[in-house]
Amino acid sequence: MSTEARMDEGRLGRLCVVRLKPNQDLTEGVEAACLDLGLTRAVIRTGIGSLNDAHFDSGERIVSVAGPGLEILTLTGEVAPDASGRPRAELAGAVCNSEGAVMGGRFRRAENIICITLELQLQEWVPG
Amino acid sequence: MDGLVDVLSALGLAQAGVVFLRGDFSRVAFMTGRPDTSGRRAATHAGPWTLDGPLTILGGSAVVGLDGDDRPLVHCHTFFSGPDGAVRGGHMLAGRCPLGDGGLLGLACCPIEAGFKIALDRETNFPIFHPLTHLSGAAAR
Repeated sequence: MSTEARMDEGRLGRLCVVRLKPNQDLTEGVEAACLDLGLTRAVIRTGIGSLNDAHFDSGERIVSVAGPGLEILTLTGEVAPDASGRPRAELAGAVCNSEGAVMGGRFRRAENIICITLELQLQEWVPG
Repeated sequence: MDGLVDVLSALGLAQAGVVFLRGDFSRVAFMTGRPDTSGRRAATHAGPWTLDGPLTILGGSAVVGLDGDDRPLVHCHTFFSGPDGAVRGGHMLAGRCPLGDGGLLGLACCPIEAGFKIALDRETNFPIFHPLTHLSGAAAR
C-alpha cells in the first residue's frame, strides 16, 4: 500500500446540541460541555460562531488574528480522555476578520475567547 | 440556504448541523464581524459585501434551527474562492447566495429531539440560537 492508516473501531452515540457563551475559552468550553454531558470521547460535527481574537498554532509559529467579532467559519476536532480521564479537546478551524480575509490553524488552549456565541454539535464516540 | 431548508423539509427534518463538502455559488452576499463602537454590543456586523461568481466553496457550516415562529432559520458561515483565486469568507445572507450549477454537497447531522431556536440574548444583545434540549438520537443523511 502507498498509504498508512490506523483504524479506530466504534460507533457514534449521543448527539449533543450546545451553545458556548461569551468569555468562555473555545477549547476549555468544549471540554466543560463534554464533562457536563458525560462525554469522554466525542467528535465535532458542526461549530459556528465568533471569537474575540484568534490564536493558532501553525507549525512552530503562533498566528494571531485581531478581532473582536472574528467569524468561526469551520470547526473540526475530537475530544478524548487525558491521563486522568478528563475530556481533552484538540480543535482546528478557520476564521475570517472584518475584511473577510480567512486564516486558520490549530486553536491554542485558553487563548480563543468566545465573542457572541458558538453553536456546536458534539457527537459521542463509543469505542468498541 | 433556502434550498438547504427545502431539502431537509422534504425529509421531514427541522433541525440540522451541516458541514459543506463541495459546491459553488453563482453569487454571494455576506457580512463579517467588527468591533462595535456604540458600546451596546461586544461586536457588530460589517458589510454586506457582494461578489459575483463563479465562487468555489472551500469549507463552511450551517446550523438549521427555528425562528421565533417555529419556521426554519439558517445560520451559515462559509469561505470560498472567487474567479481570481482570492479566498474570502463570512456570514452568508439568506436569500442572496444562489448556488451555481454544481449545487452543494453537504453532510447533515440531524438531531431528532433536540436543536436550536432563536431568541434575543440579553447578554450579547443579539438574537441568537439557544439549545432546546441537549441529548438526542441522531440521523445522518
